[in-house]
Amino acid sequence: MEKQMTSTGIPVNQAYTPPTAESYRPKKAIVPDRNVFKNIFPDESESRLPSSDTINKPLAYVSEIILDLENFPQFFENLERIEKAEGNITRWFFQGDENFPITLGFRSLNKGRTFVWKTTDAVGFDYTLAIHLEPAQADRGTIVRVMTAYDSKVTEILSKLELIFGKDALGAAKKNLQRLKAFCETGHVPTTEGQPSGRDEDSVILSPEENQSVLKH
Amino acid sequence: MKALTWEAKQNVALRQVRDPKILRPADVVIKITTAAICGSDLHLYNGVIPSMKKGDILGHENMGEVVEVGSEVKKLKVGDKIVVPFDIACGHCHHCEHEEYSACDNSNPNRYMLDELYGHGAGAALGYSHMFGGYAGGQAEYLRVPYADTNSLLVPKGIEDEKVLFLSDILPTAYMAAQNCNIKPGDTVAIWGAGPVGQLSIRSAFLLGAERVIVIDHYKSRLKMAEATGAECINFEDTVEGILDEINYLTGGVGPDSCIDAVGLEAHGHTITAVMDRAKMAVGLATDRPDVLRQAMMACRKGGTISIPGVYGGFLDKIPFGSAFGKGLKFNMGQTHTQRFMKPLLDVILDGKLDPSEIISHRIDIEDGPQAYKEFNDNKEEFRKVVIKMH
Repeated sequence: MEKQMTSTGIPVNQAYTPPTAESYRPKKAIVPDRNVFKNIFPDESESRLPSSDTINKPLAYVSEIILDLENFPQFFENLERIEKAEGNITRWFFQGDENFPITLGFRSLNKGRTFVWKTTDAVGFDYTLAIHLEPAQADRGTIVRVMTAYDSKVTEILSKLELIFGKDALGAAKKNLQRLKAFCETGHVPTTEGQPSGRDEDSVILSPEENQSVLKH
Repeated sequence: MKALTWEAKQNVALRQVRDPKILRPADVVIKITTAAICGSDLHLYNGVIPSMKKGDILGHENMGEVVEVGSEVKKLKVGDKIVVPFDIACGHCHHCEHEEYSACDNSNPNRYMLDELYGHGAGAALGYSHMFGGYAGGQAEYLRVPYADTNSLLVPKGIEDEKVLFLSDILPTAYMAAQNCNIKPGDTVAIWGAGPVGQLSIRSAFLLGAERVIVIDHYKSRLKMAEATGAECINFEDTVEGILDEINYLTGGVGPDSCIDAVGLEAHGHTITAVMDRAKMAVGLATDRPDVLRQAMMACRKGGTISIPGVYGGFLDKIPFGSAFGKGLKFNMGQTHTQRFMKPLLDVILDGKLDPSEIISHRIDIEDGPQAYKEFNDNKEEFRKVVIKMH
């Protein structure tokens, strides 16, 4: 058979086939699905806050922590408590706004790996929190992907969103995810609240005459 | 209790503050017996580490006696004497499981702040700014120790505090710096900075098999101490040829096999770049003065290793990366994973191979703390290491 030639006279290697991802990558490699939140957040006009972290615990353990709503106030800053209402409806009470909880419906998708809380129609604005869990490669625990989205066109809801996130929405979302990670891995969220300090409201500067020991132990 | 607090740049006060208490079940509270002022405390004193707040309690080199124990603490009891590492590690995250304690994911409540600055935030440190967690330090009569099972070394009875206090920071820091050099028998190690970390790096480098150690500084008392331990010294203020030429001459034109930057972000010196660094930092146009790092990169032999225990904080200017690339240098650096080294180095001390207390120059009461900070900062010829005797 006559060899096919390129314009420069070099024979074309007809046996060559371009590589696919599977040509080189190990078959056991865990590659994240970048579109995991696509169906949950179809509205492109929403403001979105994506973040992710890896928790050094098995997926089932992390899932159990997240699905126990009593745990949420431990790691979700400013959240006072969550109360279950009828069906899959929950009411979220934030600090400073005890009388006006936000009502969110709950769904579990992707065979229990994606959890979605979304405001009900009666609330008057759109807010969605989605958490997706997947195993990390090489037994490194569980990758937690979080996406929050809200209708940025409605300015009246800004005060509500500030209740949830503070003024730095993305920073607060990342901070809450780090708190979830600490809660899962150590059983507690790290804190310095309640420690001594030398702030003026918390202490006095000692003059040389006052330098007497005040040991209690 | 009494505590030394950061008030403003170059202003430390002695204040009466509340006693610490258990805030989490993994905490203990200790009665400080001995603490120290570290050279890196002077970075805070001079205001070059951001996110300090007026009233923050200083101190990350601490040891003392356990007086309260949280309900989840398994390894400690009231009455135990412990040394506390400066870096706080949770003991449970991926990094802690791999003994990368200073990279702990969970100890720093403000890790998100460092994420913005560094890409991924590090763990917390005692008494070392809010971006490193905002934890109260131990230059005080009492200290809360978080995740105490991970962040403590039990001290055997009958050992003087001064022999083991520096297991909290500078001895592991110096040892890790030497270990990061990948020293092989016959190697020459150059060390910039003959302060406490530099002094202990000399001893560590020899312990790890270095044949020669060259030390660069300008404080005569510190160079004299280095010389006494077998190091060859260069006073950069006296050298006629320039530091690089002198190091080249001493190493037969090859350069040291490895170079340790035990100075960090507040380098002194009279080179053009050092003068530029000082001018830029003075007007807020630079975060660090990395002239030692530049010199180390230029001096190091081809294929050699740069080890950086000196603290850097921000974005570094005019780093000769072409030199590093052209010579194929290797870099090892980072905050010390103190917990990894505490027990092995305690054994080194107990075996009599190393006595870290040699570096102490001053012993004070806490009442003298504010003055000691000033004098330590202004007179490094005389002040080398200040220890606060507490109880």
